[in-house]
Amino acid sequence: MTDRPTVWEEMPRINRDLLSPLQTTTWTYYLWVGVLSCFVAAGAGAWTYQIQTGIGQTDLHHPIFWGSYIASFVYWIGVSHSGTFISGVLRLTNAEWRRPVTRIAELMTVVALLVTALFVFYHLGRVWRFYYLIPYPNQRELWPNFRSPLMWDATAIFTYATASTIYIYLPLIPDFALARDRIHGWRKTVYRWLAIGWHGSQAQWRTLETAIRIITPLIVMVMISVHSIVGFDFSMALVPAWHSTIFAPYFVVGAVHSGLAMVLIGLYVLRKVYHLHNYVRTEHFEKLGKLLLVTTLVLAYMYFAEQLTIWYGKVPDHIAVQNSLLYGSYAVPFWFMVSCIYVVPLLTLVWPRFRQWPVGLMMVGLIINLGMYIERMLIIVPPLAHPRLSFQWDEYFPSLIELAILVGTLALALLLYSLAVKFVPVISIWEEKLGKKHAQEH
Amino acid sequence: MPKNTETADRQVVLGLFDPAIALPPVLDQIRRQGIPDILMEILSPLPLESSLLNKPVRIPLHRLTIIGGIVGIGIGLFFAAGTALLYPLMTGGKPIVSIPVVGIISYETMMLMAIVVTFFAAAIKIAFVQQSGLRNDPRIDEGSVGLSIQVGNDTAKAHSIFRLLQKAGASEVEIRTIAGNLRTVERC
Repeated sequence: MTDRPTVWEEMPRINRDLLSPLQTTTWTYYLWVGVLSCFVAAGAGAWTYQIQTGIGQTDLHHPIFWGSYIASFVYWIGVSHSGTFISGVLRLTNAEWRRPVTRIAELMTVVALLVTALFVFYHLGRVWRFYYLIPYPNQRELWPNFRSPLMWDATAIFTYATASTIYIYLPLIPDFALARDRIHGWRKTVYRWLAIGWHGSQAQWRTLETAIRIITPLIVMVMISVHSIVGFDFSMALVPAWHSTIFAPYFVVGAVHSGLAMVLIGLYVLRKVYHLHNYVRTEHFEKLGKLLLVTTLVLAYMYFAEQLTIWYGKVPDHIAVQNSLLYGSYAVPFWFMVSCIYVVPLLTLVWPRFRQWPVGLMMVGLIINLGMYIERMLIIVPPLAHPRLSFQWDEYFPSLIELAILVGTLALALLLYSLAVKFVPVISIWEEKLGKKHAQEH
Repeated sequence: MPKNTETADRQVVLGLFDPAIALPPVLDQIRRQGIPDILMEILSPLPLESSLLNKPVRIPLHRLTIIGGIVGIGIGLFFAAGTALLYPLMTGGKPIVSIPVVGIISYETMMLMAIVVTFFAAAIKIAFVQQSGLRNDPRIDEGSVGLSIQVGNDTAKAHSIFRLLQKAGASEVEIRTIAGNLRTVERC
């Protein structure tokens, strides 16, 4: 008999550590869930009021018919790219360091997509007629117009939501089986169903690995298409400052930028709350920091190219929008946004020492997300506020009802994530073991 | 041997091994006892890098993915082109069937169906893989490798395999007898 490989000895401890968030709950968790529930209830109340009294409760008006709901929709779709990018792209490139990070990011994807769907309904106004959007033969003689980019968007997001749920579920099957054998109560029954008879046979492992290997490149392609199509929602319209060829790739990179920043926040918080320092180490923050630096540079380059083209062309309709951003009515949020998503990350993430400071990276993640949200608003509102006929120019700021719904939805996202953490191991247990095995072998 | 195997007892021998023990020689010894690979299964908490058992793969998953993708293209064509032709929406300067639109919608439905079909095929394979007598053993997830052998209702063979596994260095060996829903376990 040869020396026993260490990873096999470590397995009981890894199981215990990574299942502990599912088994132990402190009073602070209940308090956190209680506070979030209050915010969610407030948001639900605001939405109910908007449904009762009409979409006029928002500050949406001619010519600004898209506002905070659509901006939030675009923002949350962007956040949902975190899981697919980190898990999918890093899996394709065989980046071993991804293992403790993937599940945290994949959970964000699913939660963000659930929240994204809500914004469509907020924006609908007469939400009880949502079924008009579904393509099925009906007596109303209404049929969705597939020539509209909004319909492409609906199709793409439905594909992405379905695929993301599958993509998070597949690698969870062995972990559900592990939980099934170690967790009691009502959850055991649920885990038994979700584990679909997993017992770790080589045939099962082979099937699982093949399925993940097939689905990974597909979902990465879906990820790119989804945010490109969200970009097409704008660029296909002949609205000044929207009609641009760079929008699709710009939206994809922007989505990855905000997604990575959000993962840094989640990584820091979960590591601290559940004492995952042995699994989520400084090297993970450092590598995510490097990725974030790359997305910052690419995004800055694209934004510069876009703005330079508008400025040099001096097309009056387009330059009016740009002027409103640079020194007009939107200058304050514009320059704040530029600081948040370009200046601060560039000034901090270039320093290797800073990239090894988890708290600092988490703060940069927060700043980037704040900036990206404002950026989404600035993509949507100023072009709509400056139509070609200048007598129609107007301004927009979200109403209190809109703000209440936005805050309630943010609380809902946090609540769903917090609840998910109690049901799903936040680090993929078998992939973590496999990573340790690979590390020992090489 | 009774003809109706549904009502007959089935026996499964399960041996738990230290991962450091090489399994190929053990598998060879079992094969020499007349047990084909199809009746053996290796259970592990991690995917093993080499395939130790020779089992035929009936339908490769990627073929189903391709079939799903083709069906998805058909669905996309139906929605984006078919319904446009069925209910033409005349818009100035725009074709009834727009090729780029058909391409975008078909791309999305192709991806959707390819992923969904792959998932269901994989889930069905995982759920219904040769599992007669196989039960999950929590000890495997704690760092052991399990070797499970189905021996039908041949008790003598079950005990022979039992001794073979003990001799090969298994830390624990047990015979599981399954009669209908009743399971009994005999451990060493």
